[in-house]
Amino acid sequence: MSLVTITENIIKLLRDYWQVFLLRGVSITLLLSVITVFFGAILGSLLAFARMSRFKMLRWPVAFFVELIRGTPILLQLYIGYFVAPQVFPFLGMSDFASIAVALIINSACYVSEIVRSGIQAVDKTQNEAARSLGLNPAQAMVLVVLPQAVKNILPALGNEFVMIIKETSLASTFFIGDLMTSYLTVKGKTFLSLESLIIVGAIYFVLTFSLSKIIGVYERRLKVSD
Amino acid sequence: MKKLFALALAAMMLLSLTALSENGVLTVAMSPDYSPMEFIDTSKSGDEQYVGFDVFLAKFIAEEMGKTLQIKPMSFDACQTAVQVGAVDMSISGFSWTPERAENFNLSDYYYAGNNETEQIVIVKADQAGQFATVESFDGKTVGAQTASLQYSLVTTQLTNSTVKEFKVVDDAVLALMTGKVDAVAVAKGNGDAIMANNDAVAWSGFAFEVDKSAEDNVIMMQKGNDELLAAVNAALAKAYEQGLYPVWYAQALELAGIETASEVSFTDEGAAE
Repeated sequence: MSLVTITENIIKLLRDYWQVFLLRGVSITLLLSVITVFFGAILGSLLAFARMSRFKMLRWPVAFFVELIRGTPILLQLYIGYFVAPQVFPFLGMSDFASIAVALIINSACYVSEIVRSGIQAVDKTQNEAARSLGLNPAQAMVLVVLPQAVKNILPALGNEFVMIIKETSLASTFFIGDLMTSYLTVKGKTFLSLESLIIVGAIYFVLTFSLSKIIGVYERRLKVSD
Repeated sequence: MKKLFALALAAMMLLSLTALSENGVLTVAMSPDYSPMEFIDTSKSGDEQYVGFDVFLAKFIAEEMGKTLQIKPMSFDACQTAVQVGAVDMSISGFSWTPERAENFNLSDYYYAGNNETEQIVIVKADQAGQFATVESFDGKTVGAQTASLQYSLVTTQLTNSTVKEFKVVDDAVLALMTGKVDAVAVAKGNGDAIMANNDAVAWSGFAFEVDKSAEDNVIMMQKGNDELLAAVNAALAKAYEQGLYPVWYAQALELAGIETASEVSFTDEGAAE
């Protein structure tokens, strides 16, 4: 196996299967990632506030759930989501894509909840105390003083979560959901050129995640300006 | 944690009994990365994209049962889970009969996929083609095989002086062969032909296993206890066999897989005769 053959094969695969990689694969991967990050951020924020709640009855179950999800492999959660969720909730009529997306959203939400929680708790305590002593009630102090500062901590980390999710959606290929890694399975299943397909898919993943990290980097620097 | 898990499991079992797939649809799990048995035709989309011998068989069974076929693609090991929890009606994915499977699943009668399973061969790198014709030539070599497969047991029982290395899918074993991680890979003949036809870097070693008659054919996997379904499937299989459809499907599958060397594959009537 020489570099020349590999290069030739890669060119051949790109010529014959570029739609499979670039159109189908990339679009499904991005779609799944965007859906996961968007709903994961919303659900994650709710979980974060629930976990910081004064009520033990709310705080404890949520803390347990978050730790449970964070402490088990995401592949296992995908299996549970794919096989069990549609049977427990048959009335929802979830498609395969939906059940995988829900599993990813729940996983992402638990990580995001920790990002949000640490972002809020990283804001100096005196900010809250000062706000309260100026006569703001707890809710006002949170919304008007603490949260605007917390957002600056949270957003860059959320961007990194997006990058993580792009890579983690590859596990959904276990169920041939159509993402980039499924493109790899499809093409190598037909052509038996595993290494070449892997290199192509790897390059695409890298372009996606690297350009996204760069965009996040620019945004992060902009946030710093106002410090 | 344990309690919760037990609870979830109990709920799962209860629901799996009630939530079997709706009437009129036959759901079949398969791992469409195993040409020519089942693979994806990238020029098509939706349910049409799945092609191969097992797909033709699944379509036939669904028709016989008066249902519409819905294929659920997933990895080979997930197929077994899907049947077990009742997420699908059955799995047709080139399964060979094994005692362990017979214990945990309802297995159909045998179906005969051309010479995909009747011959089991070993492939090596192209520059070593034909250099491993005897059992002894594998002494001290590392041979790759798919985990829990027929090929795996063939390597352990027949190439006793070699080291066997397990892989999740055959293609990963081939990748290991090309990158020098293993010296050879044990494959089913049909699958091996598809690999060799598409990948110039591998070739036949010159060695074929001695295959036990019982291991030659494939079975369909269904949930334990659903004997009604089993009977329906077996009836469909008998009909397909009588009508001589297996060789037709196999030839079609080979063509779709791009194996022009069909003459080399030496497909004869013996398939239908057995």
